[in-house]
Amino acid sequence: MSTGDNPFRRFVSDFAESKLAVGSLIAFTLVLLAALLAPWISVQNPYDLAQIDILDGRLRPGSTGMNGLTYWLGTDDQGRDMLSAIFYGLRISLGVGAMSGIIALVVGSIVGITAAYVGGKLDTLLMRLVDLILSFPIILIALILLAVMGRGVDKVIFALVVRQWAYFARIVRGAALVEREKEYIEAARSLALSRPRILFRHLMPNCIAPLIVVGTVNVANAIQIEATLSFLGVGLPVTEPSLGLLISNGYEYILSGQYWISVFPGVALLIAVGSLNLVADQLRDVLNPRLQT
Amino acid sequence: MTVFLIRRLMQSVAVLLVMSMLVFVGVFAIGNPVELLIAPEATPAEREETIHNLGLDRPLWAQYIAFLKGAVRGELGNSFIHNIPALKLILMRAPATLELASAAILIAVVFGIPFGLWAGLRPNSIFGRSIMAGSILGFSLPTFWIGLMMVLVFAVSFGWLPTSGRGETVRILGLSVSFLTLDGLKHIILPAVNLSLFPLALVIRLTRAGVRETLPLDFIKFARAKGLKTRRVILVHVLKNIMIPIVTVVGIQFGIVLAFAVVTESVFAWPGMGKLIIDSINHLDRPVVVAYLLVTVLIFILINLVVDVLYSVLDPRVRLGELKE
Amino acid sequence: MSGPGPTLIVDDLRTHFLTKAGVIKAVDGVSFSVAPGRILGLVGESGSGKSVTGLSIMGLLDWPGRIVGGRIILDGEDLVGLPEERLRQLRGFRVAMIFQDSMTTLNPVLRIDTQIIEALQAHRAIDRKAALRQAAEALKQVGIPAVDERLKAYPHQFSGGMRQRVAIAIAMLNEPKLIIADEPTTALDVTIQAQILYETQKLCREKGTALIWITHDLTVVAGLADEVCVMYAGRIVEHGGVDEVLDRPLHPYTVGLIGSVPKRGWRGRALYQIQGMAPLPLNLPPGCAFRERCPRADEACSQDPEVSTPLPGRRVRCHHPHLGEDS
Repeated sequence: MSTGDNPFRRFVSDFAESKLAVGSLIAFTLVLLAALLAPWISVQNPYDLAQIDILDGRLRPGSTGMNGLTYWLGTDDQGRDMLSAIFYGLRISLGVGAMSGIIALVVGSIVGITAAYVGGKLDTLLMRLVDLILSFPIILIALILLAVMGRGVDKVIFALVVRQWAYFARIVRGAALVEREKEYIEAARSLALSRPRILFRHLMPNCIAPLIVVGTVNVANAIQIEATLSFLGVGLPVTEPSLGLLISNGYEYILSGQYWISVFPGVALLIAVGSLNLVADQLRDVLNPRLQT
Repeated sequence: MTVFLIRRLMQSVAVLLVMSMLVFVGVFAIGNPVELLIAPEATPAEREETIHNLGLDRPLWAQYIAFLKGAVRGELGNSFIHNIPALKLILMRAPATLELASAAILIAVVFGIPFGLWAGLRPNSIFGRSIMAGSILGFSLPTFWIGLMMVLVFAVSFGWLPTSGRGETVRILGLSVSFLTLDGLKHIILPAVNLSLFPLALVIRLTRAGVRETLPLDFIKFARAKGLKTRRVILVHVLKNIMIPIVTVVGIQFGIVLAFAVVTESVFAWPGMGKLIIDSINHLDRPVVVAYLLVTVLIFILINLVVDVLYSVLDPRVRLGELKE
Repeated sequence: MSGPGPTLIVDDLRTHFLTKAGVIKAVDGVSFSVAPGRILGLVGESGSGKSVTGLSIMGLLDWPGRIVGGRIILDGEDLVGLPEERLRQLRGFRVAMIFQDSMTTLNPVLRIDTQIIEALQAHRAIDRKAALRQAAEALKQVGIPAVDERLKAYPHQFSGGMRQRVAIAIAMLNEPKLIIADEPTTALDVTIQAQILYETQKLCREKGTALIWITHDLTVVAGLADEVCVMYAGRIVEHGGVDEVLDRPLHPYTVGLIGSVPKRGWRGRALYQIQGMAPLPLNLPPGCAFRERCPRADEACSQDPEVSTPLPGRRVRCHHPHLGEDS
């Protein structure tokens, strides 16, 4: 087995050592595709009122509707096809998760680099802020912010970002501090390379590994928290039906045995978040220098 | 040690002040305080009076001082819905949440540490690997959905356990607790297990990581060189070393579980603080929201403080100085 | 079982590490013996296999290390292949080990008395009070003052020298027949080192304990040991009485080691440095492992040198040992 002089190839072969991780990656890719291609692979647009019929409401999985469509996963109380609703719901859930992750990454990186390079009191202040934010659970912060701001996609993303940037700030600051001390910064500076160039070419490779791991977990968490908030009725508004909202819709029907309205969106959520977490786990093991023998 | 305590206390007070300022700014300056604190059904005359009473016509800093004064006295307004002081309402519901959270943490620790030990000692065994895969599930499964599934399976399909609510309670030391009655136990099992999944997964992973980090260390080799039985090496030498970070994490988890109880209480209609806050948010009962905010922040700061102190007490390297030569 | 014969006989010991990169032959055919009350110095650079030899004797090899051949006979009992429970009974009882860094060998969160008492209770039925008394005695014996206070303390409250004395006390607790000391004084300063060397030597002579002292430092061996084994790349390249070997080294490597130590009368002269670096015993080519760095090497050295006995009481593994010349 060649140890591969190409670090990327080595990374891929290390990652592939865990079949579970590879399987999860495939699963997540399928979920992602389902979300991206939702309008094209769904048999109906569940939010186009013209396409749904309330008389088709609460049909069991596998039944056929008034218009001849087969509802593989049943319908909800409004007659929407669950499978289509899940595809659309994935879109929103993944979208919110990814968006908040990216924004948190950018904000956190900026703060981290600033803290490391400016140093001194600003650095201490920012890091205290980071510690403070991270000492409160995300659900609490999100709940508080949404209680004050009300519902809405932007508000949910904001609430998520407000806490999650702190993780990224810590990582980037750590890497930036290391880079600041290294000699080739001096060398590069003496070559009159611009600061942003230095940062990009020398800083980024050092943080990439932990950022990837934390970023993946972050997106998984964001998806989960958004679902929880929407389920509780304080997250996304009814006009943006994420998986959380679908599940909460079906809550009242569980007691009467019409489980599919809540169960299937939950399974979709589980697959999305679970596969992402499993991939992140393997990434962490592979990219962790301490475990490399 | 005392210097450390005093410093931490001052830090906590500072944090509390900062948080109170944030809450204040959030509610009184950003949100419309008139709308937030005055019942929507009030007549214009009542509004005028309340505005004057609440001092909303005074400058912001004066309002903040008044707010602080009121907060310290425990006066945070009356609930719109229930018409009793918001703080009192919250404190009435607190014991139910505390009971639920304690049960969840108990389950997490009692099962988490042994499982984590096993996964750390025999990482390649079937049981070890399934524990680890299972712990990932614990993070990934959204608590509320699992709660729904539990209701579905245990309550609806099998009919073994009740679907919601809290069981019979018994009063001890002025608090009502429900785990002392069979009916109470039946009611608390599902929500407690549901709430425990997340901290359980965390404790398992933490214990396993601790074991894996500690086993290759020199003093373990030395312990074996002394001829100690493996059982003692694991249960005394390894365990005592990883206990310190585990205890601190469990302490912090208690706070997180308290916050997460919001979800479980909603699913299982458990009459605690969490359900109260959700209902209040949905019914726009703002004084209760503000009161909940402040109480929770306070609890959090307290927990963090206790955990910090606990850490320094438990680790002999921090607690004791150098002996004279 | 324990007659006047040697306490320990190591016969053609081979310990290999099976790693992803290949087989590391950390110990490749090592043989020596130690009589009761005698001190053997095991000298070599890092990577020579000296520590692994000690760990092999104790049976404390970490995966992926395994003993793949040879015998280790302690008081007539072959340790290789013994069930783990029997090995556990012997450890800390018949054979004990002291490690290099005392800060990491004592458990930082357990009290000293706990760590001493458990070493006693692992091997015999003794109640806590009696064990405590014995612990106090043991600490006094290694020269630790204010014993009662010290017993209740934690390792980080001791200095490095004291901690190492505690480790020695623990090793001698159950009066083992053999003690293996793996560079225990390397991390200590010179005066403390000298003290500990002297005290350890005294204890061993008094109790008739055999001692293997593993080190990279020849000067330590000079003052302490009766015999010395020089190890290189997993093999013993020279073996003999300490004075003889130091006065008249036979193997070029030993010559190099001695030459690189500053001595009185060498003022102003450059120290001899052995060229190159010690090889990792991974996929070594056949032949003498010292070939690349040896000033006397030639084509004959591409064959594995056999052990020869050119002088009485001396063993050497070399095609061109220094015989009849000045070093």
